[in-house]
Amino acid sequence: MPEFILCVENISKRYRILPTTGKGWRKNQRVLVDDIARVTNQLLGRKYSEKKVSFWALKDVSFQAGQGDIIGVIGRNGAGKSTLLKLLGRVTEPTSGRAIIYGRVGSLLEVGTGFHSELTGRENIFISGAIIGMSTAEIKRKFDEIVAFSGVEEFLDTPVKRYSSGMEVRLAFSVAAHLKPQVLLVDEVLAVGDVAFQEKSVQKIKEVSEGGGTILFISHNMTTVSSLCNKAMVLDHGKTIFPLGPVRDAIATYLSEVGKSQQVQLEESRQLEATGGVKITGFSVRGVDNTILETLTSGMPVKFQVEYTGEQFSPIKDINISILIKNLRGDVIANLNSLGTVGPLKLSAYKGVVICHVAKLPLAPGSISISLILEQAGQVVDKIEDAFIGIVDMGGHYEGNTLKERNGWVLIDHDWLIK
Amino acid sequence: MMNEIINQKPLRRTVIQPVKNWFGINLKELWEYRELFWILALREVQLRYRQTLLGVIWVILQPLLTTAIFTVVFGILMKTQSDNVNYVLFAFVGLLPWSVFSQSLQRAGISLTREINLITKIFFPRIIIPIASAASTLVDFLVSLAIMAILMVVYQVHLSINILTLPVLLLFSMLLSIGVGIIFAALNVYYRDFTYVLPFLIQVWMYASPLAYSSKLIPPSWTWIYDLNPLVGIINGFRWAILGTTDFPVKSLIYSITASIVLLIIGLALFRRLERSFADVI
Repeated sequence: MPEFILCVENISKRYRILPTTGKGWRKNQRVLVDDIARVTNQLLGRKYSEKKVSFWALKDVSFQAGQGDIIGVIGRNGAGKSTLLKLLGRVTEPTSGRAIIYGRVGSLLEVGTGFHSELTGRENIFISGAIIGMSTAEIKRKFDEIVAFSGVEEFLDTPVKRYSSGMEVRLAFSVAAHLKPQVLLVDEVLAVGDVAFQEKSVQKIKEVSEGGGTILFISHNMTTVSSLCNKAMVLDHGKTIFPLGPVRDAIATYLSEVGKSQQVQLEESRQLEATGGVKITGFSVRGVDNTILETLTSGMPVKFQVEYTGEQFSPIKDINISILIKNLRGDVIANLNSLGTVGPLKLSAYKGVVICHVAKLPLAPGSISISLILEQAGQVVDKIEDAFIGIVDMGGHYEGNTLKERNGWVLIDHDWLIK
Repeated sequence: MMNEIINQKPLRRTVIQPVKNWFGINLKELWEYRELFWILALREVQLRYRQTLLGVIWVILQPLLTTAIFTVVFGILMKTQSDNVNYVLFAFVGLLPWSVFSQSLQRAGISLTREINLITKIFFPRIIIPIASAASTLVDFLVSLAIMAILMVVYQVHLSINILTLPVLLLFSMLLSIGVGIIFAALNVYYRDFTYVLPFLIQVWMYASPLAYSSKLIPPSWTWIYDLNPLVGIINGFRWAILGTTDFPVKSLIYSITASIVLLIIGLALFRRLERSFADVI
């Protein structure tokens, strides 16, 4: 028996950058000319410089995983996490380097599932099974279990095109997890299902791991990563910035790295389509002089500025904004909620800014992330995860006496008396 | 519990690395995915007439309608010579290899771009998709063959031992369509233009094949260029095998077989080469 199930050695993937100038025929023409140049050079045995037209989505990533490992892969959007999973799932070929995998690989790459939309759920289960490399007999044995887990019994004979995205992902996860893969690749899919299903899935992943399977898990949810994974690695711009190691350290590296280069793209972090007539269009953390802050300081005044845009010019009524401050494990440590403090907000114009002012930030030094929820008449109309990820620096919360090390998450004003 | 899976049998070892060669078809892997091949081919058949009113009747109607059109236009109006056989039979036999060839070429050629969902999400040998699409037309072929049998009873044509060559002829018409089909399928992933080129190619190919007319119509000085079409040998071979009216087309058949094999090898090499980036460019 091999000592590892998965061994990745200096794996790299280079993608071409399509020309951004020109459009339509001119653009396609440039791609074509480029293709012809490349193919002719290859045929003539000449080296063709791809430097100008390509970038490394993944560069020299190496790690090893053994049986039962649940490995968290963390990093920002575009860090190369999904590319790594695609390479291991053999959807695309690496440019250089190699990986060795023992056993069957089950994969759930990004949203969407590889199902055929015209076919029914039942038919798709058999196709998915066959794609993973199972025999029809094997699938038949597991069929009832798969269906029961996914909870789509009533829709088994309905074409998948009529499924909701949640149902589709549930069925896909169910197929991938029940087919006893030795290696299971899971990319962010748990974000789609409802909470009950997420819990079931986490349980299932643990079961696969206990049965000796190895799991590679991508998630933005640090709580899930820290509770589920036994090791983690951090990628940034295609490179490993934290090699496979303890989860806690990996998460800390990720948060501090992300904190350095601020301005998380709100559109990328938006968790659900903004449904109401109003959405959040910007978020910044500012000091008293209105400068944008990248790091916060304990005990200092701070302003959280939420920009919004509505669809109509009429005033937007009955608004509640929640600013959720989370620690690095994803636990909410504070919720600055406008409804609770000043009542329903009435936003005057169709575009504007709401500022939440904190006179003295009572947070202990450490890494935090901030998520935003916008509600209108009790309905969530917009939600942004990790609108801000950063560090709280030591400051003079306790008048001159700086804290030497972290103790808890919040700082509470208090006095000591000796009687 | 811990090692339950692991202890069952030695685990398959997969090495993921850049592929440099042109001819690395992994036959062992293809064999492991044979069930997927059947499922995909079957799915293709199932899906073809889903949401149609007449359903399977189309399989019977299509060759009959085409034969009827050919008979009216070429047989009755133009009085095309048909090797001294009833024109209906003449046309129908010609259509047997042509339908299987043109349909599997058409289906294989556009097969990959219809499977973006699968290709960008899950690994399996991509070559299975176009080949399964092509193979699914065999069902239509078998139905046509049954109609053929009925026509032969109706027109009182007697079978000869020649009929035994039919599977071989069918095999090479399939190989030919797969060879050309996978070239189109692979190129189509990169440039969708080939989706539009394909129907024209098929149309030109149809007129360049002895379907509605006999290849004896071609002036002798032109036959060398006419015989460059590898289908000529195959179609005449079908007429020889079923109707027994023409001579056995030795020369053009040898050419057809060679051409099918060469095109298939070119197709496989090209497919192998382009396959690496399918998921990136599709």
